Amino acid sequence: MANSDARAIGSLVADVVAIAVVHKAGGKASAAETSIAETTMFKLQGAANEASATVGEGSGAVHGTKVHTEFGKLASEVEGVSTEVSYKDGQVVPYGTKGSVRADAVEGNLETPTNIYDLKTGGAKLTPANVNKYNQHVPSAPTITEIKPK
Amino acid sequence: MKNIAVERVVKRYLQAFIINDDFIFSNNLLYKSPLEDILAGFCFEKSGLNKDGVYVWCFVQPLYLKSEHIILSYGKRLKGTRGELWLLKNNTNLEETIEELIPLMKDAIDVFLNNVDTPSKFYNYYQDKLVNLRMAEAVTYSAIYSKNKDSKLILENYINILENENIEVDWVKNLLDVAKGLKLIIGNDEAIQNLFQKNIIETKQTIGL
Repeated sequence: MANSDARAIGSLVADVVAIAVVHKAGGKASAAETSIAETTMFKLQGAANEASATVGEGSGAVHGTKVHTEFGKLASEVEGVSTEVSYKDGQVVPYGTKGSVRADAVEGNLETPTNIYDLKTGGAKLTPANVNKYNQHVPSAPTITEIKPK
Repeated sequence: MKNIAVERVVKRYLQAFIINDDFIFSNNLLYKSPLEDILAGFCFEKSGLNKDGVYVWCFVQPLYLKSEHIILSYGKRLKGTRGELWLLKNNTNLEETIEELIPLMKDAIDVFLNNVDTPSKFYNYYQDKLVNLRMAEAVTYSAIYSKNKDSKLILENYINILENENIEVDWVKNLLDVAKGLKLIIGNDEAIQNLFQKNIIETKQTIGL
């Protein structure tokens, strides 16, 4: 599938926002926060779709890594989003720090992130254990959202 | 990106920081020397997804906060025209990339590092940026270590904040326990300095500095 086709699909994913798995550690987002988050989520869903289309069909860990790599490139172009951020015990730490959790994409200030986006490929899903680990290590109780390429 | 590849780039292109600014390069860190109580410099953080790329952080780490790892919370990623990921290997435009990176690093030294590289400067810079518990922790410790006249009050406020948090989270409970321990010795300068010097030595050893 060409990138332009993927982008077209990406532009049709507004409905995905409604069905994405969202976990909020505490409190409710304001209407303004929700609107901004949905815009970012919309763009990141498009990035996931485009990444998947660029890599092509496949399965397994290698395929998943390729999709994550493409997603990382595209997601880093989204305003207000940082990719590949590791947290441990409420602090930002370098990749590979023992016991840390690595978020695929983070929205907002890294010290007070509003949303964490976890890209899942193939049959992988955001599990309660994943959510617990984010809640344990990431400060400011952000919303944890699963992004799945369509 | 392997450490050796980062080291090659630093040696070839970033020597000026080592020669002119007294920085040291070790373990993907380019930091100010002599290293005393605050680690101040740049971390070339590997990407997990792009073997040729790194994220370049300008950061400080108060070493009197006991830690078993590098902390990047007190700093920021340098962002170029192509985003936060810097391709320092297999990049046909490497020289252009470096030409973009160096001024950002110099600017980060002037605007940020030089303003937070001592405990009292750290306190002054971050005292009104208490966005989360870790920031409150670092600011409180910096006030105490730099013998701020309001240390006792700052510590009490910090403990109050912690007591309203969820102490079922292990690290939050640990922050509270340590803070309560500090409260017991807050008037004893020698005990405070001994504790913080011990933290500095142990943190340096643990993170290999």
